[in-house]
Formats: sequence, structure tokens, C-alpha cells
Amino acid sequence: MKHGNPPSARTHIRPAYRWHRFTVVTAVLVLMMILLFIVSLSVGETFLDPLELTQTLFGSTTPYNQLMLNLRAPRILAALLAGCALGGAGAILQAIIRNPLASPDLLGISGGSSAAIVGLLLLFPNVSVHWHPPAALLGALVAAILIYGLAWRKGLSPTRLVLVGIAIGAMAAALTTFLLVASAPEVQSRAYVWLVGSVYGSDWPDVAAGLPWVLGFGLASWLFAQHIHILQFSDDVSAALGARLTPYRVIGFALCVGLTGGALALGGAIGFVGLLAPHIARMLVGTEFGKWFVTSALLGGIIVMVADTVGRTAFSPLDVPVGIFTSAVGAPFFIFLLLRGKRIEGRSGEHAAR
Amino acid sequence: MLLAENIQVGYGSKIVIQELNLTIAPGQITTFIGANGCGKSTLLRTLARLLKPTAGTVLLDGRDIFKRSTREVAKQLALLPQTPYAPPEVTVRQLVRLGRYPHGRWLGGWSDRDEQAVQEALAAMKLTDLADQPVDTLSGGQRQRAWIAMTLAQETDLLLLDEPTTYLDLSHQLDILDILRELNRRHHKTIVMVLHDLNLAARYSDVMVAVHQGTVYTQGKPEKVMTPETIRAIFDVECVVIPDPVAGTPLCIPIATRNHEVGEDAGRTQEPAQARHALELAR
Repeated sequence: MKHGNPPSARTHIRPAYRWHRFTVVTAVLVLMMILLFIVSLSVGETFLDPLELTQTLFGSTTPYNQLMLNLRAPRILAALLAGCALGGAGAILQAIIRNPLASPDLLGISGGSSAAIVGLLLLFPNVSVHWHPPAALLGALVAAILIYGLAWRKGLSPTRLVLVGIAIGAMAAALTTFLLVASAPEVQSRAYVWLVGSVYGSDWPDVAAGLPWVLGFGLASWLFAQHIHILQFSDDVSAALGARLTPYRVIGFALCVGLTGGALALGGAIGFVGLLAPHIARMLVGTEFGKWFVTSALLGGIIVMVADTVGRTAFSPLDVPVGIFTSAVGAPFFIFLLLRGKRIEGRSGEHAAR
Repeated sequence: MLLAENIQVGYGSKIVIQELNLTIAPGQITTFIGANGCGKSTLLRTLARLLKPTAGTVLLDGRDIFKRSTREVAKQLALLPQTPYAPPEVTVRQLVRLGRYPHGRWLGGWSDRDEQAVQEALAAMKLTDLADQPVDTLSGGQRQRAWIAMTLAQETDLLLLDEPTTYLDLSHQLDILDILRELNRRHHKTIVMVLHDLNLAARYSDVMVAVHQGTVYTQGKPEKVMTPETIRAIFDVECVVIPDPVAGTPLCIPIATRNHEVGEDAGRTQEPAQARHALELAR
């Protein structure tokens, strides 16, 4: 046999580092998350000694620290969980749509949640926070079913899914605005804070209400990872390998909707994280889905937690909603990534459109 | 054993294949030839259960391929589509690992058997040194070898390939066909492929299947299929067939399309005869 390719300049040998690399990345991210959590707990209008805080976490405490902890910890956890969920949801969507520019906010899934929550605030101003996750989820689900139903034509083409998603997103935004206009001023201001994405005033019940959704759907996504992974290849390839494309896509989409709904219930419509986190994660660990998903979720959590901490402290006494920060910092950073990365073009889902 | 039983296949209302019967000979290299749009790719995809016939069925080991678990089928039959797509970050090793998907358990654990299959596939395609390169950065020939390695990791008896040599230069075309012959002779894989190059098809195939207007026009050894009559019927091309001076297999020398014979340009009808005469002289 002839294998007469002269080794090109790019084909130098690299060691088998992928697993190793994933382990390192995960360890670093988890460590960062813990450190930033403690830092985030200590900074604020009153600075708390991180050492004392750590002791508080392990039981021995002063009443004052306990009080601050109960004010700050739930908010930080809400930000963390919402970010993890958005990072994970974004990775799922980018994988099943095969497009690195897909995100739950782009596709109108977040838009559906927003409309549902604003509707809930308008109709039942005094409703318990426990109704927020189901409402957000219901909104996301209705949007998702609409997107799916309208994009469906004897199977599902990723390209059509994106186009229909953008249209549904625009309709959801119009509906949300209409509901806002129809609302009383108090409802408007509450809804407004929610729409830009904010964890302001989150307490333990909020966290408890969102936690099961995020953990449940997160775990399910991780267990389903190998099937989501294979959807990233062209339809012919995955079908020939024995993947059942449509059921897997429906399940992947449902998992994404669940995570998005959970995130929105916790932190409102926080923008750009669902796009940014998967993108950075992909550069760090590649697209083997199990690794990509975990990394993206960790990154999403860190991004939102940091953004909220900065928003809460940097402009004190003004409390800037976290969503403004993720968009204001995330969007330019994303453009920077796009300009720097050469390999982004020409990989939309067109290959699937058979 | 793979066979199509009286199948009819279409996209929407357009019927591409009708009343087609075909048995794939085990342990042989079978090549589909035919004009663009004759249905040879559709036939290959139907045999690989990617398209469901509207009538008739495909049997794999005597059982209806569409009624079996698709993952079970993937352990017996691998397909390399014409222009497969992988995300740009995917490395050669990750691509080859994908071939283990049908063998995987529900939670996707990785066994020694899986690892061994991946290592063997990489070694067989001489890709061990490139295993951690992104597939995107490879040359066309290397990339095609990486995709073939993925199908090898699947450990199937049957390998179906849709135009595996398209977009490759001559040396890499020969390279890929040599690899496939090696897989057939040494590893006893049954190979079914679609090729456009008739002469390479004749040189490398045990069986050629001429597909014409959605059905099998003729099939058999290359000597039987590669005749001026068949070429005229399925491609509308006049040709001379001589023995390949290197391999002894039939070699098709085209003269002109038949369109040139008819019509006002009567002078050109002389061409085939002249050319044939010239060839006779050259011998």
C-alpha cells in the first residue's frame, strides 16, 4: 500500500492528552467556583472575613455572620445554579442544532419563559415563588413545542429549527411587551427586573424551588450525553451508526428546555451565557459531549456568579442586574472570540438538510 | 448476507428505484456504476437502511433490516456516506471512537474491547501518529482514511461506501482502493461501493452492478458488465473496451456520446468508426 503523503507542517505528533486535559480543566473550574463563592460571600456593603465565613459554613458562627450568610448565600447560589443551567442548555442546543451560534435566548425558548413569567406576575401578583419554575418551564415548553411543530417536516432540519426559533422568539418578545404595557406599574417594575435577568432578593425558598429542576435536568442530560454527542455528526453518519435521530433530538431539546426553564425561574432572562459558556468550553475541551456539557455548565455558573458579584458591589449602592453585566461584558468578548477564531464559519447545520 | 427484495424507493412522489432485486455476494467487492441520477446512491443508502423502501424490503441475514434494532444492524453493517460531516474540533481518535457507538452500553462505558478496536482501526489506517490531530486539519486522503477507520472500529462484516474516492487525486484514489481491497482480502470484509471511475471500478471489483433507470441493468464479473453495449445503454456513450495493460481487467476508452451521431452534424458519425480503426491499428 502506498501512503505517500509527505507529513505536512501541521501534522506533528501530539500526545494523547484529551482526558487528562478535561480532568485538569474540571479541577481548575471547580476550585475557581469554590474560591469565587467565598469571595462573593465576603464582599458587599459590609466586608466579611473569609476565614470567619468558612468557619460559619462549618457551624461555629456569630449571629451577624449568620445573618449576612442568609442574605448573600441564596443570591449567590441562585446565580450559580442559573448560570450552570444556561451553560448546559446552551451546549445541548449547539450540539443538536450543530451551530455554535445557537442559544436558548436566540431560539425563543427563553422568550417563551419570559412571556409566561410576566403573564403570571400580571395575573397573580401575589403568587408564591414556587410557581415561578413551573411557569417558566411551561412557557419554554410552549415555545419549544411551537418551534418544533412548525419546523417539523418529516423529520427535523437544524437550519429550519433555527429560523423558526428566531421567529417564535420575536413573537414571544412582542407578547411580553404587550403584557408589560397592559400591567400596573408595580408589576411592570418587578417584571422589568426579571426580564433583564436578576437574582436580586433571592432567598432560600427561591433556591429550593429552582434546585431540583436544574439538578434533575442536568443529571439527565449528562446520562444522555453519548446520544447527544452523536447528533453533532451528519445525519447519515449518526443514522448509520444506529442513532435514532428524531427521538434523540426531541429528548435533547426537552432537556434543553428543562434547564432553560429552571435557569429563568432562578435568575430571569440572563442573556449571552447560553452562547458564551459553550463556546469557551468547546475551546477548552472540544466537543465530546459529556466533557463539553460539564465544562460549559461549570463555566456558565462561574460567569453568572462573578457577573452578579460585580454588579452588586462595583456600583454600590446601585445594584446592577446580572443580565446587564453578562450581556455588556459577554457580547464584546464573544465578538472578540469570533474575530479570533477562524474555524467558526461554514459549519451551520446545512449538512443535515437532506 | 444482504439482499434487496423487489424494492421500490422514492423521495416524495418521485420514484427513484423500482422493482429492484439484488443479492450482495458475501466476501466480495461489489461496485455500483451508473449515470448521475440513476439511483445507485439511493440503492446504497436503502441497503444501509437509511431510506425505507415504499415497497419490498432489504434482508440482512434473512431478517427484515427495517424491523431490527438499528443499533444491532450497525454492528453488522457500516456505511461511509459521500460527504460525512464532523464538528471541526473532533480529533481522529474521537472520530474513530464514534465507531464504537453501536457497541456501547446505555451509560456509555468504555471497555478494553472498545479501546482495542479503536487502536487496531487507527493502526490499520496508519493513523496512530495523527490520532490527536483535529480531522479538519488533515489532507483529503488522510481524512478519508480517518472516516474509514471509524467504520472499522464498528467491527462489521459489511462495509458500504458512497463514492469513497470523490475529491481525491489519482494517487489517493488508488491508496483508498488498495486499502479497501486489503480489508476485503485479509479481513474478509464484504465491500459494497459506488464508484464513478469505470476503469478503477473494473480493476478493483469482483462484481459490478450496472444501475440504470432505477433498476439493475446487468451485473456480474467486470468482463461481463464492462462491454460497449452496456456502456452505451447506461451512459449513452460509444466506447471501445480493451484489456487493461496493467491489470488485465476491462478498460473503457470513450469515443463520443451518441448525441453527436444524430442530427445535422452527419460528418461526426464517422468518428467512432475512425477511432475504432485507429485503435485496431495501434494494437
